[in-house]
Amino acid sequence: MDEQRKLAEAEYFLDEMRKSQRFFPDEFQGQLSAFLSAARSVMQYIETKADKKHRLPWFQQLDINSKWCQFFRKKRNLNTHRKPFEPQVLPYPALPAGTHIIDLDLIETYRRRKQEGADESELTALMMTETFNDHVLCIDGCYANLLQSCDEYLEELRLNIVEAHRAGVI
Amino acid sequence: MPERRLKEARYFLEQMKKPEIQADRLVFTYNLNAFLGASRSVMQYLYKRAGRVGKPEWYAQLAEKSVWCRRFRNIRNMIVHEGPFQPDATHQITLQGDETDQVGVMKKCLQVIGGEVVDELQSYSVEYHMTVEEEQLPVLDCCEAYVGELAENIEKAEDKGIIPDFGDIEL
Repeated sequence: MDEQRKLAEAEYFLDEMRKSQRFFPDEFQGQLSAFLSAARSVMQYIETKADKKHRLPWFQQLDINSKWCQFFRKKRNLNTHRKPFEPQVLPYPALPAGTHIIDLDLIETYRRRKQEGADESELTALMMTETFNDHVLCIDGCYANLLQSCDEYLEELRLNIVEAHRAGVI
Repeated sequence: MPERRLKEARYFLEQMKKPEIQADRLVFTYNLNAFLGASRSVMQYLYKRAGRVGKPEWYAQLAEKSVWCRRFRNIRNMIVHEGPFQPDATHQITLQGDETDQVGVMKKCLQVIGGEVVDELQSYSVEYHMTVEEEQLPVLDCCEAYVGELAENIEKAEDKGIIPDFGDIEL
């Protein structure tokens, strides 16, 4: 029950991030912190309950198998204890002033179309594509869309709650 | 960096003041939880910084004197490790119509609290409370006092050289 409530809280802040990410960076930053904290609590609650039922080895195995939980836990801990977590910002000279977040697939398309001799209007339209305003995460040298990654994190948490029910931990 | 988290805490405090947020207890609680997380980080950053510059005893004294930080730390730790915190709510509802029909009045009140449209509604407000040392206090007042204390602590940390003084940066 508590896990579900925290999951709903994380979903709420992820929705808020979707609304604010393009034009409200301060709000976005706060909502990202709130998302990280709420989502993190899901696993903490499961761990507490697993501990009470002497099932910590089960929990540890669940945690090891949860790659998004591990990734975002580090971000949340850093954000809570040391410094704010700020998603990667990649400068790209061809972008209009003030646009600073990049989707790598779009960049590839942009480069390819430029080499193929696409006209300026097409290139400008590409640059203004909505996904250019998405935040990105750097994971092991690869870039991922932040909000999609958050979605996958929540999906992992949903499955973990189901697993915890199946295992009789919650 | 603690001022960044204080700014976040203030953002969530402003959110909690909005009538549309207050009208939904769940959403109000989400924002309260976010407020608690952001504000708690301010002292955690100061703790780390004090340790790094070799003044942990300065931090210990500061934490000891910070009444609101202590009160809110307990709540926040409970939320993170044990279970969600939900403040008590007091609803003030004024309805038009037959006040002798108590069951009907109660039903309409519950509809108002649940966010449903009720034609007889004249006014509605909600205030959230929390228990502080066995006393029920308005949540927003407590949060205001807490951020005030945190802003003072950041100033003290700057004066003591624990964190850099950024001068006129808006907190």
